[in-house]
This record gives sequence, C-alpha cells and structure tokens, in this order.
Amino acid sequence: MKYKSWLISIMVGIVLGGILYTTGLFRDIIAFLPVKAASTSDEILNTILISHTKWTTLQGNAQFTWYGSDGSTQIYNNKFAIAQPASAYIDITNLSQSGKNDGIWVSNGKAIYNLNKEAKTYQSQIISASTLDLSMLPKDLSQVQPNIVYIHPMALHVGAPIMEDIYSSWFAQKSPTDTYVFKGTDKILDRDVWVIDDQEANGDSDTVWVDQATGIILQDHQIIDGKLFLDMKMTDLQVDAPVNNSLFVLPAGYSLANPQ
Amino acid sequence: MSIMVALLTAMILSNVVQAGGPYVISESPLIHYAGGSGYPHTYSSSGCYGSSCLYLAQSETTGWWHWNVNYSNYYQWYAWDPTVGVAAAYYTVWESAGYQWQVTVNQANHHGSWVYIGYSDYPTNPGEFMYTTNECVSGYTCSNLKVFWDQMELTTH
Repeated sequence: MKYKSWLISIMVGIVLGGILYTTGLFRDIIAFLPVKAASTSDEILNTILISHTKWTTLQGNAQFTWYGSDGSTQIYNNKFAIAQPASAYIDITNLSQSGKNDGIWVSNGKAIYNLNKEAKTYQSQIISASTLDLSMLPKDLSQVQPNIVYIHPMALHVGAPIMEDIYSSWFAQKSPTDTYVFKGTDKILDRDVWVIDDQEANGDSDTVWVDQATGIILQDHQIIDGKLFLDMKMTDLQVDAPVNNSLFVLPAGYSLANPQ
Repeated sequence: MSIMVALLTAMILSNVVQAGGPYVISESPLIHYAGGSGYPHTYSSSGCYGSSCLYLAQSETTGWWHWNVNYSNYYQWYAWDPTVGVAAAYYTVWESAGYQWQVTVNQANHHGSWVYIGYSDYPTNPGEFMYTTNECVSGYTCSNLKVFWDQMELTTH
C-alpha cells in the first residue's frame, strides 16, 4: 500500500473513530455482539444484570430487619410502587421505634423528593438526562469491569433500601475477590427463585433469593463480621399490574427543607 | 487493505479516547462545610483504600464535609467502598451552575469496589464539590455505625 493510501486510511479511521466515540455507537456495537454464557450461573448473573428490562411496574411491601452488634434490632417496612422508567413511591415505616428514621421517597419522572415524615420537610433534586442515563450499565457479564460497580440510576438516586433489591444489577458486579455459590432453587411468594450466596474474601456473605422471571431480589440474608446483619423479605409483590399514578405526586403538608 | 487500516484506526481511537483522568483523590483532608465540626476520625485497616479511611459515627453530631479537589470540567465521579463499611452514605455533588444531585451508597453491598456516582450535566465547568455526611438514611440501620469515607475518583471532560 502506498504512503498516500496509508495516510488516507488513517485519516478516515480517525474521523470514523471520532464519530463512533462521540455518538456512543462503539459501545452499542460491542454490546450487540453475541456473548455466549459460559455456564448456567453466568446465565443467572446475566439475568440479574438486566433485570430492570424484565418488568414494567412493581408494587408490594418488604420488611427489613437490621441487627446491631449490641443485640438490638431495627425493623422497617418499605411499601413500594415503581413504574418504569422513573416513577417511584416508597413509604418507609420504622416498626421498632415509631417515627424514627422514617421517610418517603417520591419520583414523578421529573424530580425526586426525599421526605422527612417527622419534620414534615422534603429535599428535592431534578431528574436530568444524566440521572436516568442507563448507558453505563453493563448489558452482560463481558462488560462488567473488575472493581467497578454501576448501580441502576434509580437505585442510586432514590435511596430507599428496597431500591437495590428491585434494581439488582449491582449484585452481578461483585468484586473479583468474591465468590458466587449457587445453592439451588426455591419458592417465595409462589414465585420461582434462584438462591445465590456471595462470599467475600473477608468472610462476609450475602445470600439472595432472586426471582427467576424478573431478576429482582425477593429475600436477602447478610452476614457481616460473623454476625447476622440484615434479613429482608418481600411480603407481597405484584408484577406489571396497573399502578395508581396519584402516588407519584409530592404529598401535601410538606415544605422544602433548608438546603445544607 | 485501506478499509482495514481505517477500521483498525477507528477502533483504536474509540477505545483510547477517554475523558481526562481518572484522578484519584484522597479522603484526607476533608473540608468542613456545615454542622458538627469535629474532624472525622482516622481508621486504619487493610479494608480501606491505601489502608486508611475517615469516618464519623451516626451517633455523632451530623456534619457535612467535602473533598479537597481542585480541577475544572468535572465529569464522572466514583467513590471507593471500603470492605469495613456497613452504613448507607449520602453523597451530594454541587455543580457550579447551581445544579446538584444526591446519591445513596449502601456500603454493606459494594465492598472493595469503585461505586459509580454519576456524571455532570455541565461538563464544561469551573469546578464542583462532592459533599458527604454522617446523617442517617431513612430505612437503613441507624444507630452507632461508622459512616466511612475513602478515596474518590473523578474524570474531567
């Protein structure tokens, strides 16, 4: 090939590369290349990675029991209604100590409100293009980067505990020093689940019961420093049922908190 | 042959062209912003990035702190989750344009990972601040847990 041809080829390549990079097409092209799962466990983790694509609405309740190192427990109920892509209502009630650390999260698709039930105040943030950008989420295990976790944006910005169980893609992006152990199948709320244990190198572990149809976490049992730290269990769940849109509105009686 | 060279160059360029950085920013020193002003405590552990973290317990007076960084054109943010963390932590990014966003990171779930916090809607900016606090996050365990702050990572546009 002549010098001039090399030069032209490289110039065309630079222009093409620039277009691919700036438009994000390169990542999309790579994402659509077929990736064969190496094992059944990889197929399960791939399902968890894209669980947010497997449902439209979710409604239900979940109970979280947090165990303190001093033997105390804190029990919360999370009542939730979620409609993709960005509508959410989560009412958090402390069942152990009425009113303490309660809260409500509301997202109407344009703004996210974090309500303090006790003070009757709220904080808000606008939902911008970056808030809802899913392009960073790995689409299969081949895109998972060692030691980097991309949490679904809704779980990042709507900070209720149940959100990481509903948007579960982070669970398939554990540190490379962790080990996944597939313990079998089970049934929760009359739904088929996989039981998966994530074992950290330091001895901590997190066992989750993952809904096979949607990839969301229905039950969670977490051991930290050799002691039970968290028990979470969904107590009822409706998938893809119509949702009352009036839930996704800032409730009356709350005022804007002083910004910190 | 020409087409191959062009495609190869395009692929290399697409892979190599990245935002500036990433730059790793130490958790120390944090700068006080508001609330309780007792400086966060140092925690030495192999579970922390570089074997050292800062923390405030949830039981201490709530304070707001920010990282000591001095760049412009901030773009993407990441927070290191030390393997010793179990509390949920708020992070708030204030952009110079007045826009701000908050995220919650459940430190019990992402041990030993950089947690992606998001990117700026205004990538051409004179600066941003990343704030943190030991405030309890509603629905998570709220007692005397340590809220850890470790190294941050950012890219610039």
